[in-house]
Amino acid sequence: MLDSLRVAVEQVAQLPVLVSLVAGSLLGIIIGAIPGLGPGVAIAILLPLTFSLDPLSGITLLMGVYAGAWYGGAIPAILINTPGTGVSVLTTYDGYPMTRNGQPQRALSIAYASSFFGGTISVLILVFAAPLLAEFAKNFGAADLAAAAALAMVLVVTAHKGAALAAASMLGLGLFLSTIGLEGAYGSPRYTFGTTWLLGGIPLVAVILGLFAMSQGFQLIASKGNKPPAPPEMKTDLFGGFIEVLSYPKTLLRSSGFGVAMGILPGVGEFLAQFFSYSAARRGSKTPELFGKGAPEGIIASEAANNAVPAAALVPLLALGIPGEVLTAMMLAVFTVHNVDPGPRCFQNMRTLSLVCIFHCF
Amino acid sequence: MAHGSPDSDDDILSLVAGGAPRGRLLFAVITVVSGILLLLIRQQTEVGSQSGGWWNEPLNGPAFALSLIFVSSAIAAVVTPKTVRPGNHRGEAISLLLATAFLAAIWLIHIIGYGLAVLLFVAVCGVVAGFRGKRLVYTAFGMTLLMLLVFRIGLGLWFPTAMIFKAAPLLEPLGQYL
Repeated sequence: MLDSLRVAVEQVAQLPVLVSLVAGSLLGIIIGAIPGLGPGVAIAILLPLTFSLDPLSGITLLMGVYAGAWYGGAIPAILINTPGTGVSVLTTYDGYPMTRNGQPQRALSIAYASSFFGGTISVLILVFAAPLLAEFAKNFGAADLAAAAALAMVLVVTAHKGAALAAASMLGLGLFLSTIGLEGAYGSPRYTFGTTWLLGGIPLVAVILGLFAMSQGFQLIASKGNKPPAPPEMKTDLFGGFIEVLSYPKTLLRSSGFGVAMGILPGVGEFLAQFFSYSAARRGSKTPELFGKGAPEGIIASEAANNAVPAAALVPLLALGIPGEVLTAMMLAVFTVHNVDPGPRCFQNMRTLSLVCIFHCF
Repeated sequence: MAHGSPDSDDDILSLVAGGAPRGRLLFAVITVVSGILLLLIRQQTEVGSQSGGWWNEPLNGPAFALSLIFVSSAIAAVVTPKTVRPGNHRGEAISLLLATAFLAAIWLIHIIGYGLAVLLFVAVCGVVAGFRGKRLVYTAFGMTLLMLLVFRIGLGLWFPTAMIFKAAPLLEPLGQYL
């Protein structure tokens, strides 16, 4: 365990990997802070570019974007009441009222302190759980994987309250697209319509570019003229939140716990983590009437849960090859094109790489 | 999208989970397409050998996936309330126009080359986005130059020499960059 940790830290400390990590994280924060753009677009555009990098640097760059965007989304949510990414919706509830009360720097400070603690707690839990997961993964066979995939499918549908039929339909579409091309048992073509270019299946990178980059581009071009309001003036005191966040240890730990638990469950992801942690924080608060009016606990609940999810979501992805949500589905593509095969053997055979990936979420 | 304050857990859940589905027509179209694909399943898959077991039959995967799409979309098309939308379909029209322009640009690559095809596509995007005059010209040429530098020169993306460069031998050396 300690050897794997030491090797993982050494890998992250290599200059090309470190540069990729810093560049990816900064890009992720910037992309996350631009409403309407989202990390999916950045990952989709950068994915082909990372082919020219070595696999670890390429994965690191995209992991940086993936993890950084989750924090970046809080910036416009707090300053202009417009979440940069979908996962920052609940941050607007208390972040923006705090900004209106003349405390934008306090709200931002609480948000990134909560993000830091949520992410750190999640990474620490997973680093120490990794050996157990590797042991557990040894027992996984085809039937277990099929059962886990079935569980993920059920969770995907049930997690979309009010839109279960749409979720089931899109789940079926995803499954169908994956069946196109030569199948494994007999090597016969399926739904290729006599063409040769579909024999290898639907090209992953092209699908990702089309789904995330092109569609978003079209939407942005079609929605011209929707300029967000100007952000408020900022003071320089941006670090007080670290102390303030620690005065709500229960909310911080509970929200991070929800983030880890929901992140590990395939198909559930960050939205329910946010929902549960925000609801629990409101119910457990001494001042529930302040929620929605600038309660620091509201920001802590939303941001700590959000940022605990990315590292945890890597567990079903790396251990079972099952992505928890859209971005981890994209990360699955990232790993695949860089010849990393997520699945039960990944935690066993590539324990160091798994730990490096989890470290990237810091 | 801006948000107000939450009044209840349901308010929060409806926001984070995306709320009720819309797009009755889309569900109907998906139902029809998946129904057609299901009818084609015998033509589009081969029969496996009996010794392989029924669970290895090639049609199992598509049959399950298409049935799931068909049933869920059909129910959604029926139960989704009909929403009255304003007559403005600008978003859909723009998406259709840009998708057509993109396909046309891909088709044009073998005739006029990657650079000129990208220039045309970016120009169409610029016009749709509201750029005019010098701003349109600078944006189109700037984006095209960036794409050429990144993909053709930086990543060495290869395309066969376009027809216009073959037709004019003097321009042929340019073809490897454009």
